[in-house]
Amino acid sequence: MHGLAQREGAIISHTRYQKKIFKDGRENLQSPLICYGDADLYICLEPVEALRRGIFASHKTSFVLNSWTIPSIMITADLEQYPSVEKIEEILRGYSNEIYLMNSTELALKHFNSNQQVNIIMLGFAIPTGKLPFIEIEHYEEVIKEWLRDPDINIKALHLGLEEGEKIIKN
Amino acid sequence: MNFKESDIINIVIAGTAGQGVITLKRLIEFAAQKAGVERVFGSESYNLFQV
Amino acid sequence: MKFDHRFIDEKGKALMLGNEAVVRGCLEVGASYIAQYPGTPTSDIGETFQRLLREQTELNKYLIHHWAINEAVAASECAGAAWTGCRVLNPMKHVGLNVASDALSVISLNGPNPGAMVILVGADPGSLGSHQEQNERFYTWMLHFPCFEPQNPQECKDYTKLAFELSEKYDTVFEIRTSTRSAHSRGYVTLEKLQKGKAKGEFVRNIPKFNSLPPHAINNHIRLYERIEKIREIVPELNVNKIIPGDYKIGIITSGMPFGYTMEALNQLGLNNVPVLKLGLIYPLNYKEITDFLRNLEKVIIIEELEPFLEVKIAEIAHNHKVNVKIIGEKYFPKYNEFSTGLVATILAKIFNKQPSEQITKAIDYFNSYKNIVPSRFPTFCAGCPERATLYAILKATNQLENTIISGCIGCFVMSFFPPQECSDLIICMSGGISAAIGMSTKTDQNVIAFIGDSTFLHTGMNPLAEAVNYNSNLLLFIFENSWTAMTGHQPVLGLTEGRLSIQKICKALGVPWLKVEDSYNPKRLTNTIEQALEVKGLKVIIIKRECGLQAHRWRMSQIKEIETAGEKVQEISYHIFGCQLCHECSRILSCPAIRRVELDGVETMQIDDDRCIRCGVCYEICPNGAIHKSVINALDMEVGWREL
Repeated sequence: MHGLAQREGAIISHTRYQKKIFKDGRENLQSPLICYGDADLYICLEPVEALRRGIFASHKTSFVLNSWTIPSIMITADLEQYPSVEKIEEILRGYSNEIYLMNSTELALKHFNSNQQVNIIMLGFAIPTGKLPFIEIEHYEEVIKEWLRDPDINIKALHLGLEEGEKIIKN
Repeated sequence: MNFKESDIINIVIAGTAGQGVITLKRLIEFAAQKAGVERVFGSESYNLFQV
Repeated sequence: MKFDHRFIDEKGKALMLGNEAVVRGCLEVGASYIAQYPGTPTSDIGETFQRLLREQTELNKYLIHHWAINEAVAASECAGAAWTGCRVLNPMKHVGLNVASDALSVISLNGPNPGAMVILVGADPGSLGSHQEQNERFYTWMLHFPCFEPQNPQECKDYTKLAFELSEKYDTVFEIRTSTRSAHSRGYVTLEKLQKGKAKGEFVRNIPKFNSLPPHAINNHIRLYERIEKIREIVPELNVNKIIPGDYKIGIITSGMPFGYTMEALNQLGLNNVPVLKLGLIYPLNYKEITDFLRNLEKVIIIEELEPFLEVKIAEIAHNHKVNVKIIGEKYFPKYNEFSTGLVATILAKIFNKQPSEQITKAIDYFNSYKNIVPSRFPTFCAGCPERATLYAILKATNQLENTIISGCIGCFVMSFFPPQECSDLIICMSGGISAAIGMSTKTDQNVIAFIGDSTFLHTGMNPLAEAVNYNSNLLLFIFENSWTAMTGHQPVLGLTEGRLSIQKICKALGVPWLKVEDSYNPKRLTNTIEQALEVKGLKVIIIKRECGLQAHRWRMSQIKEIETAGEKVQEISYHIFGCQLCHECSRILSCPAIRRVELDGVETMQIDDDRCIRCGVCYEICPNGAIHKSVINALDMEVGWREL
């Protein structure tokens, strides 16, 4: 796929959408990059990645994190320290109180015997934050059926994340 | 958390390689298209010199 | 066979990447020949074409896509096809433009007629996927490529179509300049009618046009100037340069990605009455369009990434047409790295004497307060990578690079310069490794080791190797034959992945005096071979013949799945650690990402992540304390090994 992305490095992506655009173009969505502090939602598949590009977060950001850590080789080689998940949560609370963690990798291994579905579970987890408005579950299911392999497993993963997410977020 | 239809929704997806960050991003963008959203713009990045 | 309807439907709109939009544009104007060498951010163009040619068999009747052996060859290939009357696309990354510039300088003079030629240059400000940063836009002045710069996927498609039409009409090579950001961003693109390209054309002799030797060189140069001036005149009719109006006396001129950042930054700062001129065509500039915009202003800000390009031209136009306006740009904006909405907002706030929004200042300050505790996570070799195993052997054989220099090259092993292995002392360009080593080995008695990959070897590596044979240079060259152009996304290596070319045969034919083929999954044997090599004077070549770990793993998994679905059982191998002494051999010298350090029952130990380990077995071979154990389940069942190259 995108070559460099496969090499165990950190990945960040920005997604933005606008349901209805203004007639006067100047207030519309025009850049694929989010401005500092402008993010509504962070979906992090690995905890410390939330901090690495935290500059786009602010008090209006909700954070949805997978609590399973993946150490980089510098950590394994004992040449750098990995901050604890508690420390990461503490720093994120400096932004807002909407910090939600779930061990999606453990869930994926338990239900599907592989970690391939972690990202779909995290999507389900993020939906109850309300920060993905105007999109219904049916839309995600349709796209999964059209574009992904093993659509049945992925749809199950979506609903699993949704259920578990609702438990954590509605608290 | 009531969003107006003209609000811009900003989502950051982060992770390590191989976790499916880009697949997840595409899913959201295509789902937004199915939902009839008028404008979608997203950026995929994999910095070599990122700290 | 699943069809990608975004490239078949002829109405409605589809979500596409900038690169995919370029492909769509080509299909809508009947392009029929594309040749390129893979390079971020343009590799997806080729991959999309290859996928479409597999899905839609009808396309093969007129559309040809070649993975060329290097960019210079690709450029000339395209010219050849254009000169029979076809519409051709030549994508390359910005460093590739350097390689192709020799051929392009002449193709530009001659002109692509009877066909049309569009080069697509993928720039990389911020060096997100390259080994250098340069503002290749200056080529448009030197070689006279009228150049479009799209800002979103819809413009990528529209400008591609316009470029082909104009290229054919004005006998000029046109350029589309994307950047990593615009090529890899996704947005809506309208779908219009598709056109079939030319299956076959005809070359018509025209010696003065196609041979730019004296006296034709001068005449063709004069003709080129005339063509550019004709295009300059019609620029306003193209409707690619737009003014977003406003009555403020300070205006902005910008193009490409910075336009989006600028507009959102202005909106954030409450400066929506600042007029903005967005240039869709950055060369040639139409003098009246520019001066009309400048005349209403006291000051104009040019917002562009890297070295000042537009700023220089606009200052020249203002001076020549006696327009009195203050021009600023490089004084405030950095001439290195890419921009973002936040960066542009911060700088514009300074220029307009406004406070950047509290949101931005808070975000920057809070981030700065904790960013130092974020551990690094740079790209590294995948689990099971044969190149990493080779680096391990080199580190052992040279006692951690004692008295040894590593002359690196472009490819996955580029990542060897990161800690903890830090196995790369210099990088220049494709096959710059061997070349630098040739010079270095004559001027120092240190051990000189050079790297090159298989695709890079075919790109331009055979030439310096021939020179090294001629001078019997005292260096040790590693050729990593993993049979994939891996770093750019696993495109096939021309001739290797299908098997018509053989690196071993080429080396023998060139007369390499000391040649060995090794498998880095056997690290102890490889370490011995390297030690032997370093005791010999003269040219030594070791070919590491082992498939890319990622691809080999994928193949192996698909084989296993097939067998298991058919109801058979497969041998399961796994490795686990017991009795770890924390010597860090596997983490600091081999540095496999599938190994992590954990605490079990209060004792620190290394542990293998079962889902990341691809079972290459290298850690098992090298653990000095025998703490890594191999277990085989279903030992009597079928064994699925590695694919032989």
